[in-house]
Amino acid sequence: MEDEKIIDLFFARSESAISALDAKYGKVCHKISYNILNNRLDAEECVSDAYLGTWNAIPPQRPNPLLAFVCVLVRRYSIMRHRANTAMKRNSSYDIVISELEHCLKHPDDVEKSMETKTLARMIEEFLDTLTKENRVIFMSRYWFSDSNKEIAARTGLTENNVAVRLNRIRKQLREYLAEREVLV
Amino acid sequence: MSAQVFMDALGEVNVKYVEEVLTYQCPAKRGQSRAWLKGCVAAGLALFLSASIVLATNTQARAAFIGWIKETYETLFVYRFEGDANSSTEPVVYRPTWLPDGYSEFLVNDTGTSTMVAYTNEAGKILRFRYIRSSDETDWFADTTNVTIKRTRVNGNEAELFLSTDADTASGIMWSTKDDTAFLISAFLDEGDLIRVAESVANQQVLDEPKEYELAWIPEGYSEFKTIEQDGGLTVLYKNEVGKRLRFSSIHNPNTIEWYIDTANTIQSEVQINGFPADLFTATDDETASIVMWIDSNENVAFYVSAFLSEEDLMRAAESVYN
Repeated sequence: MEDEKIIDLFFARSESAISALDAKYGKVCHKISYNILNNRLDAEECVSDAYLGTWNAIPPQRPNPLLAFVCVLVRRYSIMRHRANTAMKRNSSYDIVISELEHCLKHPDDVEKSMETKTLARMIEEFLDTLTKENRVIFMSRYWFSDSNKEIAARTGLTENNVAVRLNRIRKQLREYLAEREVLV
Repeated sequence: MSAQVFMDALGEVNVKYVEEVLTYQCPAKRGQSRAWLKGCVAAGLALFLSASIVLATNTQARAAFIGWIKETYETLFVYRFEGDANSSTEPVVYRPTWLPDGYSEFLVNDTGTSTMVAYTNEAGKILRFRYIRSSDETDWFADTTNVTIKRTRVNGNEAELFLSTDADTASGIMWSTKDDTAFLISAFLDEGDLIRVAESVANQQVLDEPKEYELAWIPEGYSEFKTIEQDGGLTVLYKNEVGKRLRFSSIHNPNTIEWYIDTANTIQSEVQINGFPADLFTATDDETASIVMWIDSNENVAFYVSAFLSEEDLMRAAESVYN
């Protein structure tokens, strides 16, 4: 079903809107959530929460593209669940990507600057714009979608080794980029 | 800044970056390349690794560098291009002009910027030749297991030689040239043969499409009236107002050509034309043309000039050859 028709179902407050959304994008949404939570039940709940969030947002919103909109909600709910679920063992893909970034972003002197999330988000966008499309996809796949190097390799047609090297290089660029803007002192 | 803060901010970036990932299609040509790669892996073609660092990993140093650089990442030796990709769109076809006995071409994979040619012999051993022209975002990886690394040179260019220490692993050689073309050869060969194959690599188009040579100087009154292409060469005929002819021939790969000179009424001597030894046949009467012939051993081209000219003018015309 086309996105426009699914959105029309939401506007019509039809319960089949969520079924249609799940049928079309459920797999992607579950994967994003599972990468963060490493728990299928938790992931299902977060995806359901995201669907509910979509239900509440449409109308009045008419998101385009719909999938990206839902993915943002899934990721947001999943990260919230991840933080709340303190008893969970830290072994998800999300934990791994977090540890990669901690190594990249943490200053040895542990100097931390507070910054508004949205300001930092704009800065990250500027950084993303400096990357090639392929490198941007690799970076976002890894740190937004928490995809494994193997999955990124399959998406980009590169080898896993190449992906690993690219990510290492992009993290260095990110560190330099943030340091130049005094986000990292 | 903690990673959590960063991840929160990343979650706030414009949805277009998320959409870009969701809709991303990997380049088709790379897909072909990977398919080929799988085929090669299935064929048992071994790659190789190295642990040496050739260029410092200092970021500023790398930023100032444009061209192929080498670096290590964990256990991988990485060969990659830094800087703007070569804007030249002229196709260049490289091939080794020497291969060990028994090897023949069985696979060519050309993606436009990257070309791989595989050769095999009767024993099923594979020789792989690959080159890529200053392509951005291209990394080559080498596996160092069972390999000894050695620095060497290929036609004056720095090269890395990966010498296998076991029978099931191919040796390899990687190098790049001044025009930012990078080459890789892997094969079950010893060091000497591997370097010999590498040094024989030549631009096939240059071989296939021979240069056309001309005389930059011809005596006054002469003009071109006929051009004949034959036997891999070109003959240009000139004549003057009184019908005296001047012939200029250039023949590529002269080992396939035989020229017969009638030495009657001539005096033979040895001279130099543009640094190459030449045979001069100076006519002793007005009815006989003088001749000078020589081989440019750098380009493997034979030249022949005959005319009713003085020795001085004949030599002057011969030395004016250019392409």
